[in-house]
Amino acid sequence: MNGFVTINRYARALSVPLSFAQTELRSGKSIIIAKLPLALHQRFELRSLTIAVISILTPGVIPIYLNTAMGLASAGLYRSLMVTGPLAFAAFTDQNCVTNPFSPCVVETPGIYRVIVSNNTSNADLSVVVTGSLKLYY
Amino acid sequence: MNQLESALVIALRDTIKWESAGTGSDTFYVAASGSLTPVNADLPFDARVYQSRDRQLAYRDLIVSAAVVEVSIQVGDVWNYSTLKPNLQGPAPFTLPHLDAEAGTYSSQVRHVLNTSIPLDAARYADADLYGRDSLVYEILARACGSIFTEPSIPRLDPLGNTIPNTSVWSLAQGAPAQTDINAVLPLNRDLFKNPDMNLADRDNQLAGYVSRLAQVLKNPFENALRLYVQIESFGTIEREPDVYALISDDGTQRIFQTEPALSGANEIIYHTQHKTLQWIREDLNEVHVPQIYAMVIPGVELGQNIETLAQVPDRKDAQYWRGKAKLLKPTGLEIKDTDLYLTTTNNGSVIGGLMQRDTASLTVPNQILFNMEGTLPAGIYRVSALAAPTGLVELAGAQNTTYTSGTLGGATFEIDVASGNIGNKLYFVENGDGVFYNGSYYFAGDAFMGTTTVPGYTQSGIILSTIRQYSINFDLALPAGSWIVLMEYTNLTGTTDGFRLKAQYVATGAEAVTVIQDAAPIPFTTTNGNLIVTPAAGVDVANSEPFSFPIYWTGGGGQLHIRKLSFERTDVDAARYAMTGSFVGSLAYVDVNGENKKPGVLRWEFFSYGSHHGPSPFSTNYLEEGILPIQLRQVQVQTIGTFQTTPLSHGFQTWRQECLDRAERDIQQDYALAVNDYGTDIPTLRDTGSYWLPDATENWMSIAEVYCPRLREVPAIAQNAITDGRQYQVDTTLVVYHGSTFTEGQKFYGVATSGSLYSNGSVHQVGAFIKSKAGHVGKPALVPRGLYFDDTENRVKAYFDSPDATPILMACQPWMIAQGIYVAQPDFWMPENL
Repeated sequence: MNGFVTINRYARALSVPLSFAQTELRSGKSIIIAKLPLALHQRFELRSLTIAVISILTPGVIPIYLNTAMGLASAGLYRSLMVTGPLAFAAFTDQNCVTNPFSPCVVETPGIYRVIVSNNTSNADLSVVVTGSLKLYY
Repeated sequence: MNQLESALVIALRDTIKWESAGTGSDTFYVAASGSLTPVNADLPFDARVYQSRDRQLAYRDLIVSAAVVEVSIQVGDVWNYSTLKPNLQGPAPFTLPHLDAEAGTYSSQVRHVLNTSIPLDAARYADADLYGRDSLVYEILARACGSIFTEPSIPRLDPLGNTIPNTSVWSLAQGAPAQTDINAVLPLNRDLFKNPDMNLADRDNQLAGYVSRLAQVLKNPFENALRLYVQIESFGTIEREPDVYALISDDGTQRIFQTEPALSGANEIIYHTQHKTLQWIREDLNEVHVPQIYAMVIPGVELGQNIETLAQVPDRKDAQYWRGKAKLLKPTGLEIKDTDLYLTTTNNGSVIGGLMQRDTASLTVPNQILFNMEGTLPAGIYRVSALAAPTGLVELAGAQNTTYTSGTLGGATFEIDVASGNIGNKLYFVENGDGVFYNGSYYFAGDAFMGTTTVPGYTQSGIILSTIRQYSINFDLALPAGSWIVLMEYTNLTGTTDGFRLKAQYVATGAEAVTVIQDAAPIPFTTTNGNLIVTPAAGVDVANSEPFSFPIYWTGGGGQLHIRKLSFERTDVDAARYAMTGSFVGSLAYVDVNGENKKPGVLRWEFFSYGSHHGPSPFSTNYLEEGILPIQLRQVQVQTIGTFQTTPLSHGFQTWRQECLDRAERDIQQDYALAVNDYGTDIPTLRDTGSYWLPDATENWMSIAEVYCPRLREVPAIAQNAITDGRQYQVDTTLVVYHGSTFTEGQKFYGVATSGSLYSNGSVHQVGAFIKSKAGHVGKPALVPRGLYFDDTENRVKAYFDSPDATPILMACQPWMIAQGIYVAQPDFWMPENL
């Protein structure tokens, strides 16, 4: 509480699950799995976003990366279509594939936001799953 | 010592009876001068005079009692410890008037009246001694208070210590609770005076008992405190700002105080009640602090470090404080660090290749561009981010022509009245007269000739003199094939004219020139010189993505032509693909993304290097595909990706930095509300007409937020005459001198109005919890005015609210925010992006 009457209060809060079931994602392709139009006096927090690569569908391939910074496949929250500029992301490498749930990604400016999952290779088709959770205040 | 220690043995009663004390409004009021009702020995005995004096002395006891309560309250405020307090009759001031001439001895004795005394003895001996006892008790309390508190709650009577002594001895002075009063109806004998005086002496004894106990608390607050307020100093400047350490354990031997983050066995101060020592345990646990004999200031762990317990009430903390707290805990995960290598603007000499536009570097067609940066990089993984904006609008400053023509505000000003000797490598035009002879040829009025610096002079070839002016400027560029609209921003600078005849041509390599702007009719100029006019839109079909020339000819019209800007725009492409390789420190990386027209985004490459790097480390990128929509590259930043050296035993504190950030946000919001309240209706408007928000508005908005939060933003390289009152500065060079004090590298100081705004001998930066965002900061916590947004229709940043409602809020930084100069939280607040 900051002691002042502000418009920091919201009448409702809605927990929104993100679930992108196991899907074949062709090499170099991306899919918009959620589109979130945010209006004035609304706010959402991306609490977590997880990507799992279930399998590489192209047998015997050595992946050629299109976006080296984004791992084999990535899922992220975006304000634009540029997949290398996520507001929050989970990139599937051998180490990390989940956003930091202790540091939620807060968005409060009006606009259209997207959750995009992307295959960042040019030669490997992938089977991916994306799950996540966001909280919408309105 | 010498704080009435012998009075510690006095048994305190739970009630002091005040029934004969005067109050502030009646005749027994103690004068501000401290004088009592005088006794005139020449007049007949009047019991009422002696009675009033006793009541005034009783009232002084009440004041001393109020002072004890006041100090007790301060002890509670500072250390959260509730001391014993005497009860009071009612409201009483706590500043004791004192007149040295009224006091007898200060030895705490009382010379009571005897059977052999005369009435005057009660005034000149007993009352005087009682007066002195009051002053002695009060002064010893005031001295104990003044020696410990930053802002003592009661003033001293004898600031220089000339008259009232310190003493550890207290005389009981035959004090006894008698509750008697001098009265004219009572027999005139010894007891008429002595009994009330013994009662007064008894009250003094009680108050001395309270003061002696309070002095003990003040002497060693660690024995009783439930909370400490401790700051860490290093060579005289603050290393860690004051923190509240709360008592978490007291087993009779060790009193353990701990501050946040309350890691197990860390960030503690331990007071050993038997050894009377203090020990500080930090969060990193790698160096042990040797316990020190208790004092308000003790040596710390490192050389020059001191641990100071502040006797003051904890104050409200600002965002910079929370930054300091946040960095005390290093979480688990990957750590992104900024480096010295970045470019916040790219329209400068650090960039080679591509097409330099008016305010940014760009790649209009597949091509290579190189960004020169310099600094130190450790070995590891590097993240290179570029703030990019795909856009069909290509803007060239007039001065970006290839014909060496410059002008005001980045424009190109055509030369007029060119004197012989000033001919350069330009195309010139002969006006009027009989013509000129230049470089072996005659040129007549209306002719154009190509000049060269090797032949700077010309001669008039006839009687009627001709004048020479510049005829053209030329631009070289490449654009994706397709239909484009061309616009020129122009003005007249000197002389008068009603219009210019202009011709512009598209000249593809090896092809015939195609006229884009016709000079059949002049384009009008009907405004004041210097006002900018835009030419009507003209279409040009660019055949391919090869470089082409675009000459502009001034074929007619007076005055002096100035072209400020040349722009090309295509509107038929909404989005495009950008496949680009990146090369940095001998490593290659790739991006392959889609970009939308006029919507900022971030291109990110990651590189790995085995060795550290010093000096120049250029980053180059090669734009391979698909070349249908130009892209601006406005900023570049290099970051490193490493692993946090996790603070020991901190696994349960992974939200700590986020918590600090949330607290900082609340403080900033509160400070912003205070500033808005102060401005009232005079608060400046930040939005432009049409609710547009420009980068300047961001700076002005930060200035409002900074009014009550002076350590809000970090500002690099403060000018040597720009130290501002209340703001904090940190030394970046070996040393600086401010107001006669020398500060060495890394030390901080505050600007003080009375110390002036000048410093010398080096440079400083302004300390703040937020820094201006750079290309790599997308997704980091940013401080954004409520209601600010990117309008997808106009592709511009707008604000729903003006300054009063533009409350600061923290949210993830978006690419367009970086372009607007929005500030992001310092890296000390950052959490790992992933787990």
